[in-house]
Amino acid sequence: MLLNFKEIKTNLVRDRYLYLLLIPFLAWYIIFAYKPMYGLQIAFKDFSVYKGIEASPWVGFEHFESFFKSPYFWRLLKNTVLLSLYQLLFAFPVPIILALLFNELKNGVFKSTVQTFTYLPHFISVVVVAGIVTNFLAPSNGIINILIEMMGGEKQYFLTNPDYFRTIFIGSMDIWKEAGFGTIIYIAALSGVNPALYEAAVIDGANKWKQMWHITLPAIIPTIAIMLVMKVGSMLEVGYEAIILLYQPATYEAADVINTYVYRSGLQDARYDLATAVGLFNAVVGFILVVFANKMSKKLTDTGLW
Amino acid sequence: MGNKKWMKSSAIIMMTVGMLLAGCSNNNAPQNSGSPANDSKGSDTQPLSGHQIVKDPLELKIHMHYTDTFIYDDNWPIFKEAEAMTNIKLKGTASKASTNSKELFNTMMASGKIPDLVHHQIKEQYDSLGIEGAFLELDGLIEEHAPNIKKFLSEHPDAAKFMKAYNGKTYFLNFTPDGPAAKGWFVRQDWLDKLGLEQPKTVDELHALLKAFKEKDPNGNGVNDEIPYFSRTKLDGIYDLLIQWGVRGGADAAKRGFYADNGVVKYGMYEPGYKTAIENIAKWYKEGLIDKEIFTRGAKARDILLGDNIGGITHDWFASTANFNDILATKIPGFSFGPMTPPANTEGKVVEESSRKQTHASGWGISAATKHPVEAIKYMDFWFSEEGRRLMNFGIEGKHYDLVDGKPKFKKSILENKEKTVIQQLQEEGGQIELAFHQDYAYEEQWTNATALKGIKEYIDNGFIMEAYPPISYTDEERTKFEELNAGVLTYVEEKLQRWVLGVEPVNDETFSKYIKELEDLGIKDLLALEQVAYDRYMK
Repeated sequence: MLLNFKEIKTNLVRDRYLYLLLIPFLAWYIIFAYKPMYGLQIAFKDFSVYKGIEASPWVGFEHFESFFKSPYFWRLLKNTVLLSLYQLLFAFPVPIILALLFNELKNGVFKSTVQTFTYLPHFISVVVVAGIVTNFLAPSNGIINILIEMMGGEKQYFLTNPDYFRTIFIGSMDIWKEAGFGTIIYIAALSGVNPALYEAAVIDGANKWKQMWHITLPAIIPTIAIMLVMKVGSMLEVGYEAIILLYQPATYEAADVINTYVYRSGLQDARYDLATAVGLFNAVVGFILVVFANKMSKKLTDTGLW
Repeated sequence: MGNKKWMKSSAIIMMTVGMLLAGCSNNNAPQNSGSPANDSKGSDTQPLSGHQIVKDPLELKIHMHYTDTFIYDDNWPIFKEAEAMTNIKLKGTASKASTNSKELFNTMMASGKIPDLVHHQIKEQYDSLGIEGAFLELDGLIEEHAPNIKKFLSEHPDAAKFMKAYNGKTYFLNFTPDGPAAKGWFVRQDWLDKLGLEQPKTVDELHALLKAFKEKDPNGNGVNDEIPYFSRTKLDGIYDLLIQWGVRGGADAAKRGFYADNGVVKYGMYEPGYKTAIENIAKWYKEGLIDKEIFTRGAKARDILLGDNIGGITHDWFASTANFNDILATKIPGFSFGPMTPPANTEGKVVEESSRKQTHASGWGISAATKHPVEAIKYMDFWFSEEGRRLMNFGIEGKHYDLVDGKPKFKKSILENKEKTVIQQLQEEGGQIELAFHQDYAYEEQWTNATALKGIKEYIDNGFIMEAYPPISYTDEERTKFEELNAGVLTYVEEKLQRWVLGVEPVNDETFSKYIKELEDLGIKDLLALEQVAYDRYMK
C-alpha cells in the first residue's frame, strides 16, 4: 500500500505537466456533467425559479405521474420507441454503406465532390429542411406529386397521412440530412486499414466483394459497435423539434411522441420540473438500454464502451 | 436531456457573467444613492416641477427582454426624454447577447439579483412569483402614489380585473392595446363584379359563391386553378369557419374552444351543433372549396395565393390583408381585395368572433428587493399620464410627430419611410414598447390603409364583433390541472377535426357520438368545471 502510494507520487511528480493538462477536462466534467446532476432533484419538487432548488417543496412522483397518467401515454411511448427503432433499422446503416461506397471510389475529384454534396444537408437548419419537405410533398404543385401524376398515379396529401409519417421523417431528417455527415467517422476508421491486407487478399484471389466482406468490414466493426451502443443510449430522444415542424393533428397517431406532447401541454411556461422528470425518465431508459447493448456488443464483437 | 444540460450549463455561465456585471455596477451604486441623500435638505424645500419624481437624478435598474427581440437599451431617445421629464434614469440589466427571453428571465430570477423594475411577457408566471414574495404588491402603492394609474384602472374595470392575480392582488401592470377589430372577411371584389355576383348574405350564398369561384374561372386564365377559401394559419382557417354554423369558441387560439353562454362556460367542439358544422366543412373541403393544402400551406399562403391570382376569400387581419391592394395593384390589373360583411350564420346572426385583445400578457412590476418602491411606482405612473402616454405612443414631438389641432400627427418622413414601418421606427427609439401603458389606436389609424379602415369601421359600427372570452387567471394548482386535461382534450379534438375535414373518417351519428364519449373519457366535464370556477372568480 505504502509502496503503491510512493509509486503514485513519483508518477505524479514525473508526469506533472501531463496531469496539469488533465485538469481542464476534469473541471469540465465536474462543472458541466456532474454538478448539474444535483439539479435532477427538481424532477421530484415543485420547482420555483425564485425559491431555488433547496427551498422548493418536495412533491414525490407527481410529475412522473402526470405524464404516465396521460391518456395518450401508451401511444406516445409506442411512437417514440417505434421511431427510434426505425431510425436504428433504416438510418443507422446508411452512413456505413455510404462510407464503404466512398472507400471503393478511385477518382479523387468525383469522390470529394460527392462527399461534399452529401455533407452539405447537415448544415441546413431543421426548419429549412422541414420547409423543403413540405414543398416537395405539397399535393398541388410539389415535385413528388407532379412525378406521381406524370406516371399516372394519383396525387397524395402525404403530410396528413399517418402511414407515411415515419418514412418521411426518417428519410428527410435522419437519412438525407445526416447520412453524409455520419460517414466521416467510418471513413476515418477505413483509412486506418493496413493496405498490405488487401494486397495479400488479392494474391489469394479474393475479389472486391470478398475483400470488403473479410477485410474492410471486420476492420470497422469496433467503430460500428460503439456508434450503435451510443445511438441506443439516446434512443428515446427522437428529434422532437423536427417532429413539431412536420406533424399535423391528423398524423398524431404515428408522430406524437413523449416530448412533443409535453411541449404542447405547456412546457413553454417554464415547467422545468416536469421537463426534468421527462428527461430523467428518458435517461433512465437510455441507461438501461446502453448497459444491455454494451453487453451484447461485447459478446458479439468483443468491443464495448467499457 | 441534452437540451436540459445545455440549458443548465448556460445558466451557470449567465450567472457568473451576471455576478461579474453586478460587481461592476455595485461600484456605481453609492454615487447614485449617495447624491440625493447629501442634497436631501435642498430637495425637501423646493417643490417638484411638472412630472419630476425626484429632485436629484435617480437611477433605477430594469430587466427587460421580451419576445427574444426587444431588450431595454440605455440609449433609447424616448426613455431619455422621459428621464428629462421625471429625473429617473433606467438602466437595463438584461444581456443584449441573449436571444431567449424566457430563459433569461428565469436565470435572472434564479440568480437572486432582481433589479428594481422587472418586465416580463408571461403575466401568470409573474403573478405566482409575486405571491411567493419576489415582487411587490402594488395595490397600496397605486392608491397612494399613482393617480394616473388609479384613474386608468377605474375607467377600465376589465383591465383592472385582468391585472389582478388569482388572490385578488395586483403585482403586475399590463400593456393595454387599443382598437377593437382584429380579423375580418376579405373577398376578391373584382371577381364578384366580373361574375355579376353580390356579397353573400347567408351561409348558403357563401357556399354558392365559393362554388362560382371554383367553377367559373374568375381569373380568366382558362384553367380551373382558383382556390376559393384559403387561410395562412392552418387549423385556424377551419376554426374561423365554425361560427358560420353557430359553433363558438374557435377564434381564440390561447383558449381554444371555450366561451361563456350567459355565465356558463361551454366548449364549442363539445356542443351538438359542432356535428353539423364539421359535416359541412368536410363537404366543402371535398368539393375543393377550401384550399386542399390548408393544413400545410402556412404563413406565406396569403402572399402566394393572392400573388398568383388564384385566392378568392380569406378571413384575416384587416390592416395587413388590405395592404395587398397596394402591393398587387400593378401586378394584377383590377385587383381589389375588399372587406366583406360576415354572412349571417345558420342561426341568422351576423357576427365576427375574433377581436383584438384588450389586455396583453406583457408588462412590468416592482421587485420586492427595491429600495425605491415609491419612485418606481411614480415612474410607472408617468407612462399613464397624458404626456407619458403620448410619448410612448407617438414618440418625441418635433422628431416623430407634430401637434396639429392638439392631436399628434406623424411627420411625413416617418409615414413615408419606405424601408421601415412606423412601428419599427418607433420601437427602435423605445416607443410602443410593451411595458404597462395604454396604447392609442390613433397612432395606428394614421398609417392604416383606407380599405382596412373602411372594413374596421363597418364591423365596429354594426356591432358585428362578439364579446371575447375573458383572460381569466388560475391558481397554480388549477393551472397544472388545466394544462393536463386540456392537452389531452385538445389533442383529440384537433386530431378528429383534421381527419374529418380530410375525409379520412366520415362524420355521422355513430362517429360523432363516439367522439363525444371519448371527450368525456378524457375529462372534458372536469375541465369545464375547473374553468367555471376560475371564470366565476374572475367575473366576481
